[in-house]
Amino acid sequence: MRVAQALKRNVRRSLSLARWAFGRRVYPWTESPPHRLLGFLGQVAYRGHSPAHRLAYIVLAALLKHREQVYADKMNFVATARGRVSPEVLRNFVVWQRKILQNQEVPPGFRIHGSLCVTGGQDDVQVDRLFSVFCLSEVFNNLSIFWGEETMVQSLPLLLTRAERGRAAAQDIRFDLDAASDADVRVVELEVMPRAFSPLFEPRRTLTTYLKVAHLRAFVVALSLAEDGDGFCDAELRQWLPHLGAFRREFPGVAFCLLNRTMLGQNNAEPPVRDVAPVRGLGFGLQDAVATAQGADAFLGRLDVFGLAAISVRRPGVYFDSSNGDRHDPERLVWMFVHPTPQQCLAALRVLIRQCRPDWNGRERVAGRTEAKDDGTA
Amino acid sequence: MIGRRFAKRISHASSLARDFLSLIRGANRKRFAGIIDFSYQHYALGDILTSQVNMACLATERGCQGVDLYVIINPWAPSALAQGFITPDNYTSHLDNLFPALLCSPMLRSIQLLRDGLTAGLSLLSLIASRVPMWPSLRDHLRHRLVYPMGHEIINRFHARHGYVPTLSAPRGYARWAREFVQQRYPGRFLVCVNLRQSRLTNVPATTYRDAPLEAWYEFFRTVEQRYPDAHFFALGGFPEWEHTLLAHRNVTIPRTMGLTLAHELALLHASDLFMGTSSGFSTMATFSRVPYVISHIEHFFAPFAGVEVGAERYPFAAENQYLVWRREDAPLLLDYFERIYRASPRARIAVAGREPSVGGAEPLGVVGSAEGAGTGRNKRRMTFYIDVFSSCNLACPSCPVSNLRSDPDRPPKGLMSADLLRRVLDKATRETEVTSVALFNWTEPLLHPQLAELVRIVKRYGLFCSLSSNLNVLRHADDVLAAGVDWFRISVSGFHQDVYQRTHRGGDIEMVKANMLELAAAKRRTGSSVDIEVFFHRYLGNFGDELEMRRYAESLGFRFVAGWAQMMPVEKVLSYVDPANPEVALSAEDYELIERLSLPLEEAVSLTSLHPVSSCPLQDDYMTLDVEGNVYLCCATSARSSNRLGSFLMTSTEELQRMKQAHRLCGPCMKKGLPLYLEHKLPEFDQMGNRARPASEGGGRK
Repeated sequence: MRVAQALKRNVRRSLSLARWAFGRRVYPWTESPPHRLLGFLGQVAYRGHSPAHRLAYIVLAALLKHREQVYADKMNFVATARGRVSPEVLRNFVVWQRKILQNQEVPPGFRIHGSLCVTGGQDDVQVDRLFSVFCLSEVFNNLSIFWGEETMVQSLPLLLTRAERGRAAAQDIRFDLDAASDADVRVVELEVMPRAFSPLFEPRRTLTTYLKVAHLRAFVVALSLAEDGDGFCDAELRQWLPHLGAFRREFPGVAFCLLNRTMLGQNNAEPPVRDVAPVRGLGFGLQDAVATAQGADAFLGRLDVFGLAAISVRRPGVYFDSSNGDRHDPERLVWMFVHPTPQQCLAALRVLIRQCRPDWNGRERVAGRTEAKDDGTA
Repeated sequence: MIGRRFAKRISHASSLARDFLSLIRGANRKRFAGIIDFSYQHYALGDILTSQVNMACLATERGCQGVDLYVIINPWAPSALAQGFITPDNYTSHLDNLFPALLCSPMLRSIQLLRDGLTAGLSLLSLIASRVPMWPSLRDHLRHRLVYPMGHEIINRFHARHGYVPTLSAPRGYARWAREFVQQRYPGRFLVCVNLRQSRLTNVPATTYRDAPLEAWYEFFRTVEQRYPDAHFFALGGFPEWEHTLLAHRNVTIPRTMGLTLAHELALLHASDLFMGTSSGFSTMATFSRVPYVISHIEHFFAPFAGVEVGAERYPFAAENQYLVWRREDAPLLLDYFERIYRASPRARIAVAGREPSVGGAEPLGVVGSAEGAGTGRNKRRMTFYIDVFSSCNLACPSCPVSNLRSDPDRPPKGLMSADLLRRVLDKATRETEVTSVALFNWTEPLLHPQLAELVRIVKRYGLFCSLSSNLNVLRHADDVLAAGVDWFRISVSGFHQDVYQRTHRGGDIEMVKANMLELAAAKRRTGSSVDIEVFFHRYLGNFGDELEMRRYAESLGFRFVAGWAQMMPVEKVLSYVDPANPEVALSAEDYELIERLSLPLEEAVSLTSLHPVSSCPLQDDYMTLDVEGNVYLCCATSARSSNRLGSFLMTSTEELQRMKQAHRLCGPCMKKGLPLYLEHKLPEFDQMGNRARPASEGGGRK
């Protein structure tokens, strides 16, 4: 019985193959007999551990990739970076992904490949910061970074598909990370953003441990301020500190976690910064800071990469967004300001906290320790 | 009909095959491929850095113009068996943390992170089919076999053949940040990067016996704070790897507490004066840099991998001030090495190449006035003084303004500096500034001064570090000069044989120099002087063979040997060459001939520095250049024309002189083109440039 079935199956396959070979049957390229055969052999080779298996896998993978290059399209996307990696450039890296997802109809779960051409001075572009944002993404699979136009042009034939090569020759399809406009971050269009911030296991663990140890029961506000070219926010933090101090005197249970780097208070000669927890100085990397933006109770600050991360998970908060004018979404507890003052932001935050913690009415108890004191247990 | 369709399909298939073959054969053979496949290679700082030096060595030997890095990761099995703690769920965090280490090779042209097996397959097949040179070799890659710990076999072999090894640089994008950070926040400090490996404090403790003994280090920090208040430490390493008590040391900063990352730390290491630490990834970075270092507690089993004996004082390719310590460190040992390097530190670097005749190497000249020396006022500006004590030179080197501007009517004053004038200069200098070093030379020959020994004695009476640089064609009163207490003595040469030497030290006699070197060595023995004598060899095209002979000769006399890329001087000539539309001075046929002879191609070097315009210049900020009459000049690398003369040092305050320097019209174009980086040899790419030119022109031997 089994033999008969196998025979039948093989006869059927042979017939299908013959029909395909003589042009009587058409398959999508990913389903065609040669593709399936190469895929099958590739899997066999991949399972082996000898050098011969590995060499065979390389050859078969190359053949499959070549088929992909011949038949596929919208797989590879190119961006350029020219100067210092400012917060805008980091944000634009996310915006680039949004544009790809929206305009190119990339199916859910499908990953594309990114190429980055660094054309500025080598000592200007801190590509590792872009790489950190890349590591957050579940949009991209591969990332190629080329220093210099010539280097990239030499390598593109191996990276782009035929259709993409044709388009690349016809028009400039590159996304300029230094030049994207504010209009690219309209909140209404941010629905596809979560894919730019994939689940962050390690950072989530770091954040959770930190919040439990340092801010138990506190209302945690992720704070993101304007950074300089190297990612430090000292200038704006100086302006904000007195306001944050006053706010915390009103709401001692609020903890501000600063997501940007700062050198304020880090020198042995300076007093430490109070009223703000500079988490980047507590061992948090950029990924951890993004997790903080997403995991905090509220967000306060710029619509930079942290702001986009927060809003992508619908975090309530006060966002500085220069693209759409002042507005307020009472349902999601989101305030958008164009050029707000600290007082304006903190007034909105006050409303937000009262809605999130209706039992708090100003001068509420300090989280954790003070609460224990009030109970007379400390 | 069916036959036609079949034929069409066959034709299509053959067209695809042709296309495929041309695609995989099209890789650039002039570039080297470095493969980092984490399925068998390690996420480890030291291994990644050593891999890059291996790649740079092999790429240089194959004549490749750059390195393309292929980082291959299978997201479902992202690490080797030895690193099982790196899983599909957390590998991006590890990769993100380590990524800056991939940016340290000056030869790097691209990085391709390949998580898709198909793309990786096509890339690898293309490298194989195009016969692109690669590391690891195809055989090793297919066997997934790499020997750990990663040894220095390739590097030592390269060093034996070429006399140098390619160095690593600060991660791309961070060199400028580190320079500015140090200048702004720690000006004039002796900066020491330390790595106190503490694996036991991390999530994944491993080989904890290699961890640093913290108490010994704390005691060391306390002692240094008392004795050397100008020294400051950066404690490098992961955030978990330090105890909170470390923050109690006022002379220690932990960059991670400022939110800085591995990229910043590696850049700071490059910008510091010294690295000290246990054997670790950071010590690997120091190993392949020019930074002086002390690496302690090296595991004995590593010796054969490094190609040295247990107990060797340094690696074969290391510089004189780069030490290995094979035992566990304690506070006295750390202090001993610290003091040894502190006292001979390159902090008072001669920023210019252009000591007579023009020098490439920007090698150490002096030592900062030690803590027990004079002038340690903490609010004063730190300055190194270059004083031409004699107004002319006995040679006519084409790279030096004394010779190549000799037809210029605008000449500096003639004569020699009197002892009384030097005294008055030093009185004012020590009153207004913190003098780090006094060099009794700038463009001219100090040994022609008949009372040089007396001048040295005067400098020493102020407790200051005193240095001399000479072509050594004349040596008078050697015993007197050494006995007077000169601290540092450079002998400037560019050949071992007369036919080579005379091309660039015109009018000189190398046999006389060699005889005087013998005499100087004898004088050092006779007087018991502790002077640090350095033979500085100016590398030009065509003198490579002579360099090796001179190195042997110098070292046989107990002199320190240093070689550096010769440069064209003064700055005005360089500016005129790179911007002929706005000439500062006229360039003669002889100038062009000399520029052709430079190993470090001038145009290429300046093209590179132009990408890095500087906003501040140590030559402007930290150095004061005087002539025989005590007139101050703009900079030690510019000519002594009257347009660069700022005024009398005795009549003008230091602050006013600094203001005049900052307003000088020459500094703008110079800094815009990044020339201070050229003069100080700050860019690691220079070595690659210079070394690329030399073997091709010389065939590896003397001509």
